[in-house]
Amino acid sequence: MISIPMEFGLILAGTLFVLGLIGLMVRRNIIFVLMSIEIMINAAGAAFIFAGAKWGEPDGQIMFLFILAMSAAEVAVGLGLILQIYHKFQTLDGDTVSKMRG
Amino acid sequence: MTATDFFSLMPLIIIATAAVIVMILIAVKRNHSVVAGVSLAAFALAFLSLFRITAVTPHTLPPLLIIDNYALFYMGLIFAASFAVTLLSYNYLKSYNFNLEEYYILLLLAALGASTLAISQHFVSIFLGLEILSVSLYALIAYVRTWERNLEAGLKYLILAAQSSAFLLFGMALVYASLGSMNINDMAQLLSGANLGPLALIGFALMIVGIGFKLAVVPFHLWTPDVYHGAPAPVTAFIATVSKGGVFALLLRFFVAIDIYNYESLVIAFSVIAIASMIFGNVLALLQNNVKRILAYSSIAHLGYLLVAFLSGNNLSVDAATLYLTAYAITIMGAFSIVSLLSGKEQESDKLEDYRGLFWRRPVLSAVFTAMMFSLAGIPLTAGFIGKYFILSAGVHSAKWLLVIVLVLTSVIGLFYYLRIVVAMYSAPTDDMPSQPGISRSVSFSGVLVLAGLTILLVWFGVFPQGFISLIQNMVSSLQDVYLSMIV
Amino acid sequence: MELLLMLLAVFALAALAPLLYSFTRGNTGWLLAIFPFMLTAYLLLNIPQTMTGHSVQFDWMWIHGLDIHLAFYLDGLSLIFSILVTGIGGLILLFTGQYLGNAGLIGRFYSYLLLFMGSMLGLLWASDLITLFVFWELTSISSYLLIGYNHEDEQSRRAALQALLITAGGGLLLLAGFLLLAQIGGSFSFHILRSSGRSIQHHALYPLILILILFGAFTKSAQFPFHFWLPNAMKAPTPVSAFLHSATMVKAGIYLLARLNPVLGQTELWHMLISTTGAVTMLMGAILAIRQVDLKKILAYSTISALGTLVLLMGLDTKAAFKAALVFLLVHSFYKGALFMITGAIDHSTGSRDIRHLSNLKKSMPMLSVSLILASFSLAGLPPLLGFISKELVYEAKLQAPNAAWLITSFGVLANMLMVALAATIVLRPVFSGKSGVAVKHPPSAFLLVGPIILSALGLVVGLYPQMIAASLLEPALIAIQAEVTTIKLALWHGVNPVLLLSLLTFLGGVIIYILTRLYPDHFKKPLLSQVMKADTMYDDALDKFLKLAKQITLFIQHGNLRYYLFVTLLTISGLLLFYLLTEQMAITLPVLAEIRVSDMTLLVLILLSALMMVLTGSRILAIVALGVIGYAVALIFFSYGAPDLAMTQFSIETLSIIVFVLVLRKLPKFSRLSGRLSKTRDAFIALLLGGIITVISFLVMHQQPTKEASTFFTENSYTAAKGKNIVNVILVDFRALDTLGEITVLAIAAIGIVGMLKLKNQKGTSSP
Repeated sequence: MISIPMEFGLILAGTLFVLGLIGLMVRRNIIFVLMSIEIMINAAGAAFIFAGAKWGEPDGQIMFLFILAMSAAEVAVGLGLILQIYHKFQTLDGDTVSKMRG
Repeated sequence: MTATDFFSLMPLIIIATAAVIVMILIAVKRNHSVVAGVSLAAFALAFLSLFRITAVTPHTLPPLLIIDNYALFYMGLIFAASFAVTLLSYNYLKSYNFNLEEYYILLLLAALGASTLAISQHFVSIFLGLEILSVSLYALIAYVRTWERNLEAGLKYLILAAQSSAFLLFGMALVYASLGSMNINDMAQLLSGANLGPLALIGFALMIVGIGFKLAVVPFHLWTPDVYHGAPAPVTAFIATVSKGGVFALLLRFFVAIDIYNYESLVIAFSVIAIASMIFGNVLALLQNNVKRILAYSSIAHLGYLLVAFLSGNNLSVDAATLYLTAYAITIMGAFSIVSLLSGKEQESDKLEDYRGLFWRRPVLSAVFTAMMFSLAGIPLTAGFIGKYFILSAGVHSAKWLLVIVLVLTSVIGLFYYLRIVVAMYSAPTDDMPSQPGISRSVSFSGVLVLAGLTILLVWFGVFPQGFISLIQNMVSSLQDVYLSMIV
Repeated sequence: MELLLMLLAVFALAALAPLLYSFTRGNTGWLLAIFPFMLTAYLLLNIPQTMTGHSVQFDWMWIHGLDIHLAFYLDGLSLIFSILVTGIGGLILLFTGQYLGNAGLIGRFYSYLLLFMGSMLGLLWASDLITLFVFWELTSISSYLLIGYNHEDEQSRRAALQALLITAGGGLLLLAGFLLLAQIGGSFSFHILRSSGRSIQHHALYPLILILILFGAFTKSAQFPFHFWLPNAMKAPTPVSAFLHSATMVKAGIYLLARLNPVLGQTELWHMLISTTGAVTMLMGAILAIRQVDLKKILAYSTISALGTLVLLMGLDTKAAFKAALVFLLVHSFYKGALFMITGAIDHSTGSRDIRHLSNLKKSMPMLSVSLILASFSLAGLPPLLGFISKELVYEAKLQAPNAAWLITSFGVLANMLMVALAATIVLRPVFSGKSGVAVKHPPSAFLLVGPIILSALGLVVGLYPQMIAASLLEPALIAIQAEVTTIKLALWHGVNPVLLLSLLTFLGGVIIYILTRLYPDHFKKPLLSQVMKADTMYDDALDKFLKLAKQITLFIQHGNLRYYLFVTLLTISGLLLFYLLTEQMAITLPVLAEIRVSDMTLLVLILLSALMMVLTGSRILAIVALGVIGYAVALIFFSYGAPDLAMTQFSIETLSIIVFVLVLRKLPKFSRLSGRLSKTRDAFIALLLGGIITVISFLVMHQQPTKEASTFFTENSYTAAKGKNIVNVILVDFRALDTLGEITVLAIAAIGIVGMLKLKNQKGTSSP
């Protein structure tokens, strides 16, 4: 049943996580930032799947379902917020929105 | 599920039901007062139900939840604080004329999330609690969008919180991959002092990032000033008390259970975080000209103090940390109450300038605010002093000299900015000051209720701490007993 | 019990003072003064009891589990200090009534004064370290309120804040010292600490304890280098300066040293630290005093010098030194209290405190002049006043100092010469010069005079009959410090001995210095030593620099930019993980790729490529497509893991997400390239650094040995207990119904949040683009 060893699974998850991180860092557009975070969360979810598979337990899959639902909620709220920001600031540049400092 | 299971979950069920009731109410007819009243009743009822539950504790709902006296105490703290926040919010939101009712649903759910954290003993419930709390907070922070900074605060919190959630999750996954269990008790037994192994160690490190973010400790604190500043004052009070209280309850339960004190590398990480938080929190607060930002930075420092208690790792540490957190919650709630009572739609009274000469116009409010500042500074006869005393004792008891010295020295720095606020309040008002509608507004009955309650608590705690201390010791000792007996 | 009741009465009076004032107005001062005088009488009546070595005690368990008591006791040492507090306090209240007149908030002023009196008495009577500390901080706070009383004045506010920062800051260090002391000594109670005696001094932490406690004592008693707050505190109304900042509060540090001497004293470290600080402060205060022209400033610096002398005597740690200290304590409180009140009275009558402008007081204010002369003689240490006796005792103690006696004595002689010159400065010209100076607007009334006269007369009377305080006050106090019975003989005339010669020398030297100051006044105004010694400006500079640094740190750390925040977090995580990787010495093995099926390999490559594309592409549609591909590919992997239900969930959620993204993007403008190449490279570098570390960590998995057997609970029970075949579904619905409920909650919140936000937007009527 298990075709990919857990080690590879974790490496895949780790790499995916890092790609998400790169997006988070490189992108100034808030939408892309949000997408990148989605990738990171998905990567973490995948890591749970592989870990669960290693122990032969369904716990990892259950966790993944929760993560899926949660990330959907987060995206929804995030996009709502982004729409509002666009109305107020007329831009999606994360740096422009950063006014408070010090 | 058995009847006892349901019974022991009564407070959570009450809060969740109230959220549903509020939704139905909104669907039928919008009425701000009714909705606020239902929320208040729910928090009060949930709080009272805790007393009944003491009869069945400790009760475990395997594998996710555990309801022990420790959890009950923290839930009590969460419900009491939420009650105060609801009163403040009612007062604060009155001046707005858009749809306010959903705000209370979010508040109820956020409190639900925080209390879930207090009773969690499994990654799944921890994650759920954290997310219910976070997602509600995203919306709460940006709920009132009168100023651009509300949205900015919401965005910053969203992005940074989501990022920290990702780290937390990845960390959890690594721990699970390494240990094969997501239940705290199982983990504690699997580890029982044995070597962590690289994967679990890294997993824990990533989890520290996630938890550290929620607690706003250096270097994961960066969102704090902006969010404290940008969020409506009652929401800020909520973040400072309920959100941090719930997460700290979790931190204590989790790391005491796995007996973190055996793992030097984790202790080092926490010590560095504690020291950095104490130093930077206090130093950054020095020059702020905004009361909310001052309190934000000071909260970073106070979390650093709390970590000192936590790191002491002796039989005093859980008591000391809980005591301090309780004292801090009372104090900071009081401080934000005043900020929020003075604020409204026209103006958020959070600039230091707004408080200049306040004493000559609002002597009682200023006296209360002074008491709160003294408590934050740890001056005797206030709750803050008792808390600081306990933390210092815990630190001294375990001979954590570096932490104790940093704590004492940074407390001296802290004096400076708390007194700055006090001095500003007592200085003479100048004539050329712009008129501030918020400052002169009369305080409503609900505001008086909150302030009077908190002030009495603050002084009572400071002068006759005996009762509080016994209560806390009775309630939280269950945490150590359970895990100590399990490990031995 | 009576001690507690008396304290509570003082605090109650403090609370009621403003109310009382609104009824009695100008009479409030003397009405309020009745109570302190009653207290003084009570204390005096207690003298016989303390002479027999007994003490009044009160003990109440304050915090049970921690062995913290609210405990008071009244022995010889606290008695002598508290008589000063209540006695002088009463006189000050009399004085205040006249001095401040009916200025606006005077009710509050009385309130603060009484608050201070209560706190000070509590401090003196405390027999428990924590009790003492609580009252210690209360005196700092009441002092803060009194200094800042003239709140309109920027200088007053600054001085108040400075005094509080320094004393309360010292207080925090003191608390740390007390906690350590209790930790080692086993109790907070003075009685128990005392009986555990010298064992504490052999503990490794003894130096730390002593230093922390000395920080507290030195800041409170204005010792070098913390002395500068005291002259600034003279911004307070004169009654405050007379009461707090010369007679009582600043002596709290001395009191603490005397109180803790049986526990911490008699060591090399005690001796060295305390006597050096005291000697330096003594001399420096005197030198700075002679350079002033403002009467109040002169008194402030001479107070610092006197405090230095007292600290020095504590540091000498001999019986003669304690005896001298006790007598000097009394004398100093008498004459300095009198001098401050006289200054206040002169200021009140003439509107000036500048000695260059005052003249012919003997005509305009004869009574005041007499008491000024008496008090100054005490200051100069001339016979037959008590000041002379105390100076002789101090010289004697210095000559007998355990080491460096000649150095200490010469410091002392020099400081006392300056005191003689000071006395001459404040008496000769202002009183006797016939030149016309500032006019007297209104002569001082009786209430202004009674305080100075009583105090300066006391100096004379006790000087003539010194034996009256020896057995009644000094012996019990000495017993309290040294725990052995001693008889004290005090007299004006001891015959010709080295001490007398030193006194003569002091007088002559003082006269010469005075003449020099008159001949070359400009030489004494030059900033000769003051530049070096002006710690006040150093405090300002240091505070300034510190605040500037804080500002820079703030701007550096709290940059405000969201991406910068992410950047800091990631850098920290990289550091943390790198630290663990290096310290834990983990072995790394590369995985063997051959174990993977080609189909899975394709999926992996696909996922990674899509992720890369999403990150780098400029097109939004491409980005969304890439995001979708990642989701679907992950779902496919789940298929190969034999989890089709999971894959289906993933498919649907992924589809939903993409639809939402597309819908939102339709409303938003095209992406534009925002980051510069350089910043992009930097960001990517950091992300890659972290990525590298995480990948390395993933490789570490190879070495993991399973720590437990794979569980079979759910597989075994899912069918029997829950009547379901799909394990995951069973678990979700049945075993974990609760958290599924929670999950639904999250979705509900999301929905509510969005509805709320969008609704708000519509109501505001902003049009969407």
